[in-house]
Amino acid sequence: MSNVTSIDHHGEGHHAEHYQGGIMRWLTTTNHKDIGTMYMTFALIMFFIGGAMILAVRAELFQPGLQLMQPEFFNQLIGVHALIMIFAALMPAATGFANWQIPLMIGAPDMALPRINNWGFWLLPPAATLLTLPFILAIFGVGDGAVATGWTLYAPLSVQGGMGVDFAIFSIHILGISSILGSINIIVTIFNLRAPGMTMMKLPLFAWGWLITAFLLIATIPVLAGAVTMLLTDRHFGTHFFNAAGGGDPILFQHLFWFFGHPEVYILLLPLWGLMPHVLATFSRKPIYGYTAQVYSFIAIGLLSVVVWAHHFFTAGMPVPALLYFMYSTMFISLPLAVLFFCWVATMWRGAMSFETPMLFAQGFIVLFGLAGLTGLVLADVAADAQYHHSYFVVAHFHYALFAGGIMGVMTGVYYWLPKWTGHMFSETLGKWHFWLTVVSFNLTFMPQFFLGLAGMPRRIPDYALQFVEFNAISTVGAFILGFSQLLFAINIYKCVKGGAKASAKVWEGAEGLEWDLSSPPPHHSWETQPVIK
Amino acid sequence: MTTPSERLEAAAELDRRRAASRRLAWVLGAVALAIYALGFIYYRS
Repeated sequence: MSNVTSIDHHGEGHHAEHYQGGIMRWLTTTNHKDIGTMYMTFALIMFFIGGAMILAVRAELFQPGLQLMQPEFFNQLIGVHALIMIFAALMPAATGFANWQIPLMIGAPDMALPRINNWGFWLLPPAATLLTLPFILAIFGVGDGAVATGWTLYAPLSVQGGMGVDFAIFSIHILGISSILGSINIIVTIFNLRAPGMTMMKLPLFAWGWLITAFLLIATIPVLAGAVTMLLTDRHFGTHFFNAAGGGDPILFQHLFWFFGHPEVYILLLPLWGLMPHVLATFSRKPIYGYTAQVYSFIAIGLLSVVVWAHHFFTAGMPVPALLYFMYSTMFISLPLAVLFFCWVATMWRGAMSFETPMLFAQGFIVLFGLAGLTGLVLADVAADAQYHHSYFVVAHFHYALFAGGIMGVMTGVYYWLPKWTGHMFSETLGKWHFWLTVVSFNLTFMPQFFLGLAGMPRRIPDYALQFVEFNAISTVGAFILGFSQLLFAINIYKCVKGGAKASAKVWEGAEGLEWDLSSPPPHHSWETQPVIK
Repeated sequence: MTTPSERLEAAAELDRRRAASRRLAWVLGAVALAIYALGFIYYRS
């Protein structure tokens, strides 16, 4: 793929001394690498904040009965945990990858719209502050805490909820603007700044995954923004969009929310599905298998993801033909996804595989995310879903998707590209400890939740019946090991940033792609003269 | 190594591409705004 005929590094790095120092560098930077670093750092901090919240929840669930907190506070923690993990951890991490890697991988000197890039990032901290501020305000007697509706903000609960809902609505608007700015930037960068000779079918799969993601964001974030604006006007300006007493329809909110919410799952995962083939090919020392099939699978998944949303609320009631349509269309998504799985395995087939930390995380990703896919098929079945809906089975399913598929995918990418970004190798020993502790404790946490769900334990409750005690205790022990083992990740990153063995330009023996032609770390201004692809 | 004239040409080409990027960005932004407004227009009618 990276058949570069001319690479000119002349002048690279000669601007490096011109940027400002201290905090002003980070506030005003328009460099894609700086902004990528800020996104990744922000995501890591929010990952720990969101994780701490859910550890408090798991501590409460260690035993039946109310131990540590009141149900209202419990509800606030689970809702804000989800919003933070989705909007402030996973999405910024994926955008951080895009900022760092897309220009390097397509031979572009920077993102096409650098100032918008800066603005897109700096909208995030105030939005995250708005999500968590109501907790602080409640301590001082202002308001009744954060949003307590879960991340779905279902009406009429959200119409009647306290001040925290308004904070969440405002925050979601800002996060949405940030996402749309980032998406526009990624689309125009990929369309217009590719190296000469890099046709769309030579584009790295990571960039393809992000391209589809960016279009999905532009199509669905405005729908979420519209829904929460309507919620706001219902709450404060006398409209009745979701108020049945005023002629509105609360189910309408569910349709609007999930029209965004289901593609959001693919928004979180597509960039990582794009990253995975690069890692697998590198550590199998083979070319990517089925490039074209994977590109068309990404497109198919993107298209299908916007026409299946109502499977999230089968039990709300809808006509039988609609139930059947949403069931079959949901199951249909498993076909392009199966193509991706096949290509990933075929890439490794008979390869000279080695299991450095990024490859270990990629293996964990494939196996555990596969379980998410299989249990998703169970939930897609209308008849079965009637039993599993709103149970811990759903909680287990989407954590297999979003932790094993999402967070572990991010960790795969971080370990894969960190030596390129920092110029230093991370500690393989720490990385392997991190991987094994994460995989074991993740399954300890979430596997019991499948059984809890099958046995009928509903989600979003701070107390439960006695027959659920053992599995909840195991899940909580697993959650604490999982949470604290993530400190190894932070320590490894910190040590790698600070120093360590020098990384070569081509960090991994089997790596292919333009980014590996640049030094590690790459010069502050890279590809000022674009490479030419054969 | 590239010559100075080739580098100037590359810089000009990059400027053209950035201008095309800005135009496309406006179109994509307008699409996003239109989707946002669609629901309100639909419910007002």
